[in-house]
Amino acid sequence: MRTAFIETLYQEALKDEKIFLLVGDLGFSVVEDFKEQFSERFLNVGVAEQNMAGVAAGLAREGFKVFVYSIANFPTFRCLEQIRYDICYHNLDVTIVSVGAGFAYGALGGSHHATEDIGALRVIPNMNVYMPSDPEETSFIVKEILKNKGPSYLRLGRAREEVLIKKYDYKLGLNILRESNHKKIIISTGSISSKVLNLNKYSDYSIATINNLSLCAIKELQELIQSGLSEIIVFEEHQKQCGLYSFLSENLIELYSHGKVIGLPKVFSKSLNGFTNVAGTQDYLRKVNSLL
Amino acid sequence: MNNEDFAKEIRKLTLELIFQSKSSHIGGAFSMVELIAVLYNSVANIDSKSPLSPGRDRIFLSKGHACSSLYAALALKGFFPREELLRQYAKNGSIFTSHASHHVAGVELSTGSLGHALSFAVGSALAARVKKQNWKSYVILSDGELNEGSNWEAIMLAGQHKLNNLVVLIDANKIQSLGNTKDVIDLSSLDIKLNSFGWKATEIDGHDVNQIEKTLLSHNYEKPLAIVANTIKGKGVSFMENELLWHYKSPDEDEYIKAMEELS
Repeated sequence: MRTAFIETLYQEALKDEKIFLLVGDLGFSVVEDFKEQFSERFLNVGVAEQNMAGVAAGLAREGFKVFVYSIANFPTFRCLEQIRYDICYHNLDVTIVSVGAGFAYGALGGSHHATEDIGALRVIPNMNVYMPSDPEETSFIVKEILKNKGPSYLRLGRAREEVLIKKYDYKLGLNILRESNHKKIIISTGSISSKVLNLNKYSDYSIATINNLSLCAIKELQELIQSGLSEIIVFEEHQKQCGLYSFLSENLIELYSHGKVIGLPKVFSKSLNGFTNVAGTQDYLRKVNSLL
Repeated sequence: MNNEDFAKEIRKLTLELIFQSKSSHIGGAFSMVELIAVLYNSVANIDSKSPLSPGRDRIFLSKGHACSSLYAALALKGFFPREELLRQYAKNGSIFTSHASHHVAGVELSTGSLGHALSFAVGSALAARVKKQNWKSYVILSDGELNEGSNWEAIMLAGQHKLNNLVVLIDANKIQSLGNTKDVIDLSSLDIKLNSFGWKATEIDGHDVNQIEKTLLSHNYEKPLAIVANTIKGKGVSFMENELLWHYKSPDEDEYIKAMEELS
């Protein structure tokens, strides 16, 4: 996904002189071409994420479309107040890009497990959270982000993720990758989606991904519920609190409370419930946490 | 109006604002008055009729808790009516929050959490450089605020890239929320520290408007400029000067009358 991100950004930067990329001393073998081609619109600010977020806000205030690139929790939790106050409160055009969602850097330990970021970012007003599941969806999302102005969070996996379905025509929100009878659906986000697609025990479920925490996904779910959807299982490499499961639960309850649906499906969660204290590959840590 | 008279008017209006709203931070609002006065009256390129003019200088108040004297200066400069400010400052439903708000005409950035504006200003200064525009970015910091590590991240980056379109004015009033700065985290010899980070740093009397003006106008270095302005917290009112209490206290009626007499 990081390759799809940087290649798309590079192509867009050829056309749009306002695109500016800041990195926090990370991006080896990823950002070099961008740096060389757009030397005036690239800056390595050093290992200083609070400053990076503030500098991004200052650049955005002057009309640049700024992307801030780092990994895991560094461009999010380390500078959360700068994101909240400098970027979101002033509603500035800055996209925080974090590589290594969930356990993508699993073996590196707890510092690198990005498992609370959706919750931390989605609660901030004006912030738009994007979380593609494969490289092709990442390219689609980068272009979507560039169409809009305002704060965004782009949650990426790492590298060499499987393409879920080649040339799939993605849209913002819910994308149904495999249709079954629509009575039961799996909703997944991030690179775990490719694993979910291949799980035999869910062969009678429809499978969808969500790439953006926006109400267009909820609108589509409303229609599915009206058509008889009875069960949802959410897969996410994120704590159960405040992630995709929470987002869906909150909004489904609201649909029901406002009479938009006359009943609700069961909603189960394959999410995390605490820190993970052991080393392991991404798949190993998914299993340790009973996600797979 | 000359800078000295402008500073005097800012202090009087600031006192009125703080008294009427029973709000805090008059000490830090008073200590930076001359810095604000010189910037807005005779140095910075700003226009109250066009607060967002693309070629304007950007002035960022990092010590947002002291915004009463900034608002006062902006009102006196015609960014909005003085009466409107007096009526609304820190009142229900008002945009004039008692920490700086960018919803107020002339205020570039909302601040109130310390250690934010300098990074933002580094972004502004970089933008001006990339766009080859010649406006400047000014930041007013407090000395206590330099406890925030984010400032030092920004200081290092600005020094590294020789951002000579960036000017920092440090309102060094020597008192922070719970005591004297030297007793909390001693940052004495700030000019030496900043020089060693690649800045041109100079120490001046922060209440001498001529010295402030001369220092700002003579900036012609290949580095960012830091002015360590030695100031007095509560400057202008004898019983407020150098008293930590006035970081918090709002004057009662007797104190207000006495203070106004001293300022008039």
